[in-house]
Amino acid sequence: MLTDKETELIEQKLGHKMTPLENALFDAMWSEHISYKSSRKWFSYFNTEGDNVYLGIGEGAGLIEIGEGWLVGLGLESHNHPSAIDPFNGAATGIGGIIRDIISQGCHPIALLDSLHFGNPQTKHTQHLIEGVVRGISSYGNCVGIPTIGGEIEFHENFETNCLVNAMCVGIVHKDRVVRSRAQKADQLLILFGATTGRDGIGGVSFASEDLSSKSYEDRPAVQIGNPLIEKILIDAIKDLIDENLIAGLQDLGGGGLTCASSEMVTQVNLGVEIYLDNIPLREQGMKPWEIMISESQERMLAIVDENKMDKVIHILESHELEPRLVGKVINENEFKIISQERIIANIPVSFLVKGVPMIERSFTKPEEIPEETFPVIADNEELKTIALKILELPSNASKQWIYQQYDQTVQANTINQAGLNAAVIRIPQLQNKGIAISIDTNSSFCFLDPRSGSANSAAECLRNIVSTGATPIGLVDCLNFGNPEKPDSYWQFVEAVQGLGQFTHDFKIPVVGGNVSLYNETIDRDGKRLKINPTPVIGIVGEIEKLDHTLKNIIIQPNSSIYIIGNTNVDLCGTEVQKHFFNKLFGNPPDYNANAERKSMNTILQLHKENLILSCNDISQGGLFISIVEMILPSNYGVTLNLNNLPGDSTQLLEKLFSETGARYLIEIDSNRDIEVQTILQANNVVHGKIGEVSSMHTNLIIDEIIFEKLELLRRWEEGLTKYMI
Amino acid sequence: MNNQLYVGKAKTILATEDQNQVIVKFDDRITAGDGAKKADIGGKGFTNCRISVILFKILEKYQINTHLIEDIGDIMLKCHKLEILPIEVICRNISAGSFCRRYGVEEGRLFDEPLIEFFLKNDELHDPLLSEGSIISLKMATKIQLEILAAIALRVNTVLQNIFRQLNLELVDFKLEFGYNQNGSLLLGDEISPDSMRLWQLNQDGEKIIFDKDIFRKDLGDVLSGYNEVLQRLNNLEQPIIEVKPYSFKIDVFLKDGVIDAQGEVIKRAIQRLGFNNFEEIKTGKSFKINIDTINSEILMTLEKLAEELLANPLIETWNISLV
Amino acid sequence: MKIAIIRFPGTNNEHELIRYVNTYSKHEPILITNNNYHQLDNMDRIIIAGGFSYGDYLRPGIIAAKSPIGKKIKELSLSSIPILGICNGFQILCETGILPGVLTKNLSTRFISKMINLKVQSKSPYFINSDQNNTLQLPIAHYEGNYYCSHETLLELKKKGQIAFQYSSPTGQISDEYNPNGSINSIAGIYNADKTVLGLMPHPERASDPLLGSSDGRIIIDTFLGDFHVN
Repeated sequence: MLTDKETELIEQKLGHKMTPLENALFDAMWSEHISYKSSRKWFSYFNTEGDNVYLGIGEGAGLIEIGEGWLVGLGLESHNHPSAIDPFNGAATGIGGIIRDIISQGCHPIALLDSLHFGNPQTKHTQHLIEGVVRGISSYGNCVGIPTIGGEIEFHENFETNCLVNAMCVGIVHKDRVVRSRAQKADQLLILFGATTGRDGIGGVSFASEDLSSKSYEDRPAVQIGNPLIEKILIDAIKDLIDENLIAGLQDLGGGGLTCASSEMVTQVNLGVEIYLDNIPLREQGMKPWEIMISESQERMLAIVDENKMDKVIHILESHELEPRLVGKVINENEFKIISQERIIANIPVSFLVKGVPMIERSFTKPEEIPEETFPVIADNEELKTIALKILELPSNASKQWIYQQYDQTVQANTINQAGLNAAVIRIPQLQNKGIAISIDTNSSFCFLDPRSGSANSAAECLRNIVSTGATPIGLVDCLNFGNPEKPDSYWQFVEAVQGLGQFTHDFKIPVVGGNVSLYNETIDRDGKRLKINPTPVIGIVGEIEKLDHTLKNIIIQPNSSIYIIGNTNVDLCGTEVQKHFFNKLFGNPPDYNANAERKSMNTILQLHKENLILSCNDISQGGLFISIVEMILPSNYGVTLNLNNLPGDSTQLLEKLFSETGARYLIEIDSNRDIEVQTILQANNVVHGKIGEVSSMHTNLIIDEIIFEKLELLRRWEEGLTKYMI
Repeated sequence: MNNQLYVGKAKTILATEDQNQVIVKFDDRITAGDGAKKADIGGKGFTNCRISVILFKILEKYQINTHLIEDIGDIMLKCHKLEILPIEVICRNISAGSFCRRYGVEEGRLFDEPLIEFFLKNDELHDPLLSEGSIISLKMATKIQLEILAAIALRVNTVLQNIFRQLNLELVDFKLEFGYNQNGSLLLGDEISPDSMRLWQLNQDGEKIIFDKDIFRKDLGDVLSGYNEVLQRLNNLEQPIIEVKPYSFKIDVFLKDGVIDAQGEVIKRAIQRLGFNNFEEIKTGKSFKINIDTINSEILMTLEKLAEELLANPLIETWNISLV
Repeated sequence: MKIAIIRFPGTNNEHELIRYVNTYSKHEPILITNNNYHQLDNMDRIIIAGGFSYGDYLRPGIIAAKSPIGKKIKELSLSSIPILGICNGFQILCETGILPGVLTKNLSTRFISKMINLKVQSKSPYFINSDQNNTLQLPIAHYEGNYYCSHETLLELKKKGQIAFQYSSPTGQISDEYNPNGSINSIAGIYNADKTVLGLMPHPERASDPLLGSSDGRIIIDTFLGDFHVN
């Protein structure tokens, strides 16, 4: 909803009271979702530069060079509110939207990942959401033919009323085929193609009234229905158009529909646009102009075409049955003009429409700290074992196979590391033995306690996942999910998180090439209490793999090999799984963000990998060393015996050693015959390390300081942790 | 005359050289109360023939196939020879006549939706009322055939009601008779005239003027001048364009018994989890609605073929066709 | 040789098949769509690629089967041109009637993506003719791979050796435990009567390299693309 101040500003500029059509246009373009008015100013904290950045933030996808003229495209977006209302369609159309962002740049989409955050899986409501969201992602991604090969899912009560569904898409394109999303000159034509336009995203009858003042862009029920068949055909058609060099630009229609797509594509180059409203193919009767202009019907694209290429473009699009229509033209004047039945029904200065919204200065205050409590002392190994198994079977830590087996892992025949491993790895067939690693991560518990370090550590965790495959990180996208920015405590969390993430991107010189912000993720319950999500900055990182045939997995492969730990294990129990286990709440300071340590560990791993010294690798994060080693054993044929007496770092109790979540740590499996080479490199890097165990050829269990975890028991707890809640 | 095929209460059917065609001759006889009251009204045959021609032609415009081939003029129409369905189809918008006597209600009650009734065409039995179940049990028609008859009658009602309202008349009720021609096509037969329908003019002051056979039944005045008034108004009619609903066929497709319905099983478990345990089985299926403008003789066959070749896989699915 | 790779609207496995033919053979892959399907008359092999042709609307494969391309393929099948139908391709072959039976929803009612093992039940000179491989490891990724046919058809298939592959343990054992979708008789793929047509749910093109987890798929497709001499 436009604020009074904004309305005043607009009406002053226009010189009259807004018509319902103008109101709808401004309501959309000046909404938080599209204008980033509460958040944009903080993005200056991000590092967005890099030698390999071909196209940075600003268009559909960020493009990064990976060799021989080939570029990787990244995008990450949220679809939170629609998924809470209609999980299947909300998730499906979220996937559809991010795919379109990637293909609008000319990329061929090659991988999907998702970050999901739900409440307690014991409630029917959450089960309903999980079932619907997973089916939605599955049905859309599988149908379009893109493997969904990674993701994360978290269960925390703070997401009960506001679930989060973030989707990431990665694509590949050659420099010569990149399409930009901006016009170049006047008289270029705008061709709309794809699905027809209906009332999606508007809310049907309740919005059909003329009076919009009581409804806002944020308020409207946004349930769009997707059609993945049309999306696949869009991909085929765009490829044909680019093959013959027929389009000068391309935009996908997402939030704000045709209004947003057409106005944004001209403002960047100081041009204007006129829209021929009557040419837009409609799927519903009696749609009013404002409905047509802000409809969010899915699977629609807008092409910028030079006049002399029009006929060929139309011909190709018609051969794919995509109903192309001439819906507008680029003009010289700074205008956003809508023409219907030979009358101009709206004429707004386009730069004002797109960029005129004043950035909002909001106040932010740190929320009150939560009183700390003392961790209990664990009496004996049996008790510790019980605790360990309970943490293993927590739905957030348990096997997610139930989920990702519903995602096609192998379509396109390029998947090297599938979902469930340390990070997804995809082959790039155009580049001989090269591949890319992709991971999507966040730690919302760390961020709840300290959004700044938590956000940096979330990115560090993502980095570690990438590095653990032997990949070098090259680019980052983020989706910042926070509460109501009008409330100082939520806004403080946002500002802190952006700074933390920004720090990370400078520390590691990883460019942020794209991202999304989702605010207002909170609900007020019947008693007036605010139910807010944990601050959830979701990070996606892509890394480059030079030798695909040496991609590292987190699966132990060789009996009698050595297990080493890289990095210090300190007493960092706040914000961790073990804290949630004991107290069912969070308090204290989460682990520090230590850029130097992370960098050292990272460089060490990459150097060891370059020398082919690592057999398998896993990073240590959620659930600490215990979860990390279990993840290496369960898919393997072998067992492991660990001795943690000399574990480097400040931790002394076994509980601390197993469950501390200090950053900058990895576990690696090394051929014991090559111990000396490994030690040499470790010393040279001056990195903290320790040999903590061996892979057994005698048993398949996990033995830690004499505590025996039977494999079958581990496997059962892990496999059933989540599935016991699903039908 | 020796080419008389049949002499009815008010019309005579004559044979022609073409064994598939007849001449329907409209006579001046008029009867009521199952033949109890009789008279001859000179000119009534002409008027009813003219009215029938006008109305048949209008109905043809709305894809209702009638037995009319050609207007020979005066009191005769060349028509297709029909094997008459022994079911009279009555459509009522307002309560009147036998409906009121049967249920003890007053005349003039406006129904929310048009009411379709079926009667057995049998003088000896005094045209008894037929329930849908009776018709099916007597194997006089199948369920879908009845649904088709009703749908056609409703379309006739929409058109005629509209036409007569243009003439300041309310169509209270009417009777239709159908039959099959030599190709098996279902055609609307008989006549459409003030003998077979009720028409009232409802004036502002509450006065009700009757323009149908009730004038004769209740001795309300000059029958012919009432009928001629209807003809005259029809002759001056400016034909409106009437919106008619398409015929909406529904094809339901289900898995055959014996084929595992995995989805049904999962849904059953989900329902049981919600606490509903009162059922044995739940089966999933698909439903298709097909809207058609014209009903021809092959429609059911076409729909069967559509179901068999495309909408269902006969190896594992069965289907059911109905009219909505 | 010219290898036709069929793409319907919604097919999404066409690129990797084109890439396969280019990488592992010297033949020419030709992408066949609604705009150029008359070229099918000149092809040496036909591959019906997997995906969601026509969005799997109505039922998987039915609309593709009734389309002009589908009719053309049915016509050509009578002339013994070798045809390989993978996943949705298998569904399309069944709906055209070129292969008997029908693919229905997985018993779990969920999409399933995983690596499975197949027992080679019966050989064909066009698809798998070596004695060296009794089991293959291939990935599946489908929602409606549950093969069903009448009892009579099943007896017929068995009698004529038309059952090509069955889901099995790594050592070739057949049981419900290794059947991922409930297919009758654990059937994963079948031939037509003269074994020139193979329809299978698993994806051999996705098992073409050890890096992808298995290269057993090469055994099938390389044979299909090879020059075979048949009596």
